[in-house]
Amino acid sequence: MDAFIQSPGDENDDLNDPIKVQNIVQKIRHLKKETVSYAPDAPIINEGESNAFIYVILEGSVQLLKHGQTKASMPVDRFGPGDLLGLTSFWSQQPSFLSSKAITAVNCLRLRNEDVEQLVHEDPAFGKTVHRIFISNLSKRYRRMIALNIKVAELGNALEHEHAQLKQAMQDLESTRNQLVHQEKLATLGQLLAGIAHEINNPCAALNRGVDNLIRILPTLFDTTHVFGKFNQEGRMLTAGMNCPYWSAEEKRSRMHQLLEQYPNIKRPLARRMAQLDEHTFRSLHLPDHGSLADKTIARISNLFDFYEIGNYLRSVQLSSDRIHKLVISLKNYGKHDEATWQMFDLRDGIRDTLTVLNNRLKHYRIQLRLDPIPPIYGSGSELNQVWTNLLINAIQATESGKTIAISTEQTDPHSIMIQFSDAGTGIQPHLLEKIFEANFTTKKSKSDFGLGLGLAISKEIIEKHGGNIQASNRAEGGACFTITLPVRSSQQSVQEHS
Amino acid sequence: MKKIYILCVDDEPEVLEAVERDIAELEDDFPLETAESADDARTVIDQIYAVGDRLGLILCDHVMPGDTGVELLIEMFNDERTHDTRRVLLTGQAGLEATVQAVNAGQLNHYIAKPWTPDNLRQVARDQLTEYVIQTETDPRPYMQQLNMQKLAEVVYKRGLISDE
Repeated sequence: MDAFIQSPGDENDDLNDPIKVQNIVQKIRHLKKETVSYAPDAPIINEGESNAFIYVILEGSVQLLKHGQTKASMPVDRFGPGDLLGLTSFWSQQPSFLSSKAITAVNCLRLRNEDVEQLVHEDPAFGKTVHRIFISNLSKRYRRMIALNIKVAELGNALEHEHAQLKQAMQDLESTRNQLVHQEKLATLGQLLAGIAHEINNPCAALNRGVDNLIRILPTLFDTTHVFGKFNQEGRMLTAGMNCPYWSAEEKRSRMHQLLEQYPNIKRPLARRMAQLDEHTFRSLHLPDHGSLADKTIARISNLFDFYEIGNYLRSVQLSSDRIHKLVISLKNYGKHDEATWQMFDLRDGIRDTLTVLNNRLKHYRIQLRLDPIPPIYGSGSELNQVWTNLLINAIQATESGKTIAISTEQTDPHSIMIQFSDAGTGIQPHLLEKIFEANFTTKKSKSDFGLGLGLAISKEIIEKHGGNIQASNRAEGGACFTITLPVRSSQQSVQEHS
Repeated sequence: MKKIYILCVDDEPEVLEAVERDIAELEDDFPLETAESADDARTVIDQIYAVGDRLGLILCDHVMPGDTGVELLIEMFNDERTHDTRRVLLTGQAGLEATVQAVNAGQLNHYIAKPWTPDNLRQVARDQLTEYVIQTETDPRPYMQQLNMQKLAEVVYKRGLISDE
C-alpha cells in the first residue's frame, strides 16, 4: 500500500515523467488495470460519448481533435507518454469534450473510473498522489492552452498587419493604374493634337499667303495715277477698310447716332458703316456738314462703302488666318509629347503656349503676367506644359470670373528659378495643403471629363523629375498660390545626375 | 410710334459685324444696336427705354468677359421693362448647364448655334419679333409686311380688328 508513496523530497518531482507515472501506476497493486494498444489512426475516445476510463499513455503519440459544429475535425493538441487521457470527463462526469486518436502505434494503461474513485476514497494517501498527478497533468494542459492563446493573438496581429499592407498595395496599384491611364490619355491626345495641328497648318499657310498677296496687289489696281500710294476714291476706301481703326461698340453707336442726326435721310446700316471711317477718309467723301443727302450721293457712297467693306474683309481674313496660324503653332508645341525631347529651353514659351491653348477658358479672367527673364532649363517642355495646364485649370475652377489669376517667373539665385501661379479663389484648407498632391485627391464632386484627381499628383511627379519641387500655400489676401522651384542646370549636368 | 429695337451682344467685333450685315434688311422697322458685353448691353437698354422705345429681341452670346450672356438674359427676364423681350442665345459654347439655366431661369426663347446662316438668323429674328408684336401690340397690322404675315393676319382676324362684313 505504501509502496507508491515517495519520500517527501521527491514530492516536487516532475510527475509528467512517463516512466515515473507508469511506475506509480504499476505499483498500485490491487487496482484493476489493463494495457491496451491502438494501431495508427485508431480512435481512443469519441467526442460526445460517455467515457468510463482514464488512459495513461505509455508509448506513442495521440492527437486530440474537436469536431464542434463543422464536419471537419480540428486538431487541438497532441499528447505523448506520461500524459493522461479522459481527465476532463472523469472530473466533470460529462460526455467526452474531445476525441482522441492514435497517431502512431499507442500503448496505454486503462483504468476504470470507478476503480480509481473507490481507491481514492479508501486510501487518502493514494488519493493525494493521484490528485497530484492529475493536477500536474491539467496544469500542463492549461499552460499549453495559454501559450496557444498567445500564439493565436500573435498570428492575429501578423494577419492584420499583412491585411493592411495588402490594402495599401491595392490602393497604390489602383492609383498607379489611374496615373498610367491618365498619362496614356494625355499622350494620345498630344499625338492627336500634333497631327491635327499639322493638317491645319498647311491650308492655313496657303490662306495666309493668299490674303497677304491680295492685300498687296488689290490696291494697285486702283492706282490710276501710277504714282505709288496715290489712289482714286475706290482705292482710298479699300485701303481705309484694310486699316479700319478699332472702335468700341459704344463709340460706334454714338457716332452712328450722330450721323443719323446729321443726315436725317440715310439708313441705319449706311450710317453704321460711315461711323467706322477715320476722319481723313470721311472728309475725302466731300459730304455736306449736315442736311438730307441727295439720292445720287447716297448711291455713290453706298457703292464706295462696298470697297471699304472689301478692305475690311481682307483685313479680317488676314487677322483670322494669322490667329489660326498662331494657335496651330501653340498646339503643335504644346502637344509634343516625347520623353526623348528633353532639351534646353525657355519655359516661358511653354507658359505662353498654354495660355494660348486655354485662351477660351481664360477670357473670363484678368491674367496678370510677370515673366521676368530666366535662364533656359533642361527638361521636357510638353510635360511642363501639362503642369501649367493643370495649375491654370485649377485656378479657373477655384476663381470667380472677372478676378485675377497671376503667373510669374523669376530667378531667385544663380542655381534656381521660381514659377508662381496665384489665384483669387477660395484658397485651400490648411490641413489639405499637403494632401492635395496625393493621387485621387479631388474637390470635384463628379468624376467626369479629366477629373480623376490626378492633376496635382502628376504635376508633382513631373516637377520632381525635373529636379524641382512644388508647394501650395494660401495668400494673405485670399486665394491659393502654387510655387514651383526648378534648378538651373546645363544638359551635361542633368545627364550626369540622371545616370 | 415707339420703335422696337433688336440688340446683339457679343465680345467679338466680327460677330457683331456679321449680325449687322445679316439683319440689315430688317432695320427699317427694327433698328439694331450692338454691345460688346453685358454691361455695355445694360447701357444700351437704358438708352432705348429712356427715349420711350422698346427692346423686342436680344441675340446674346454666352461666354464674354464680365457677366455671361445667360446671366444677362435671366436679369432681363426679371426686369419689368424687358420681361417680354424675346431672348435668343447666339453661341458656340454654352454648356449644357448654362443652357438649362437659361431655359429654366431665363425662359430662353430660342438657341442659335454658331456658325449660323444669314437666312436662318433672319428667320429666327422675324419669328421672334412676330411673337413679340403679338404679345405687346393690340394692333399688329403695321408689322405685317416685315414679319410673319400669315400669323399676324390670324391674330388680327381673331381680335376682330378686321371684320368679314
